[in-house]
Amino acid sequence: MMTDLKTLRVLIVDDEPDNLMLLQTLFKHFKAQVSTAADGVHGMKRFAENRFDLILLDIQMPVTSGETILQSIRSHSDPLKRTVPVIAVTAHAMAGDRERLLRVGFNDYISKPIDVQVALEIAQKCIKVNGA
Amino acid sequence: MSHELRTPLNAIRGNTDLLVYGYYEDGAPAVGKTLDLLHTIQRSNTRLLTLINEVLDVARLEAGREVLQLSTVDVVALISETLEAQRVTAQSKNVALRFTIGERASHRITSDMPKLGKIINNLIANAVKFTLSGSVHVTFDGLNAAQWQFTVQDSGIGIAPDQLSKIFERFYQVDSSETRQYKGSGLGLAIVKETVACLGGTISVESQQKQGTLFVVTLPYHYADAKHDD
Repeated sequence: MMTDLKTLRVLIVDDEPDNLMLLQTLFKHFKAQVSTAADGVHGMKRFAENRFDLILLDIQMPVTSGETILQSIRSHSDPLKRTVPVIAVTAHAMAGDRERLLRVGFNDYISKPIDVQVALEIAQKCIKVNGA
Repeated sequence: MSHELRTPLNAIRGNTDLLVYGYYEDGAPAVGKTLDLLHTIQRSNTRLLTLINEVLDVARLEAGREVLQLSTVDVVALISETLEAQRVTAQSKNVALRFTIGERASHRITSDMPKLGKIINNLIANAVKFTLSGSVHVTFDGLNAAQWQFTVQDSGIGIAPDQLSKIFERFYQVDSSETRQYKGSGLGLAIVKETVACLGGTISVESQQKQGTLFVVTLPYHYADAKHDD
């Protein structure tokens, strides 16, 4: 039932070590190549130096929020880099939050508490739509 | 505060899922006794999350930090959906659910739908919970030009007169003994009372032991009117 995520290059940015480990464990199980960062500065560094097929951004982080990182990604000079699918990972589950996140340029969002099956489905949907 | 409380619970839930499905390096889905134990962790975690959400709800309501999201609300649909959600539980113990719409009811109501839904859901679920057999009767009707009423009458265990004034207090359980039959945080009615006040309304209760309990909620048709009257 599960598409193999082998060769998929994923960047996960989250300031909570436990959340980072959770998503990393999940994607590694499906043989993806996972890079991680615990804050925006390191996340942007990884993004600048590597090419990714999928990026997961925690929204609520100190100093640099997920939305700020997304703005930098979407304004990158390389069209291939700036169109990478980006998924918001957020505890903001209020009505209207989903619309706002999609409007500012996220491809989709995963809400916390993370349901790992739902997270997988969303990740696969984003990759498919992007034709990777 | 809420972020700090929920983050560890999210980690427990997520990692338990990884163990259940075997989504870790060289992992395989959990089976047998291991799976049973993991499901117990998941159930406990869900209960704890519900409780924490309720505590946070009360704290936010009491601090007056609620921001209302006003819209036109279809109260009849809200009540019908809630009754539908309770139908299986009610049928399993032979409790009939009835809904009467009064002739004076105007269906144009401006309020906060999630909050109104919470009031309706808590009161109806409570009535079903404390009624062993018989009926739960819900009504919706106009009171005057500015206000409407929502009532929930059950034929349940009822509440003793000396307890009646305390049921809206936080963490209050009518039966707080170790052997109590009805589980819950004791926050449901405190949340209802604070939410009703937040929407510019009032709530009252009448009860007779072993006969049943009647909750009456009175709310303005338009939230702005209630604020204006203050």
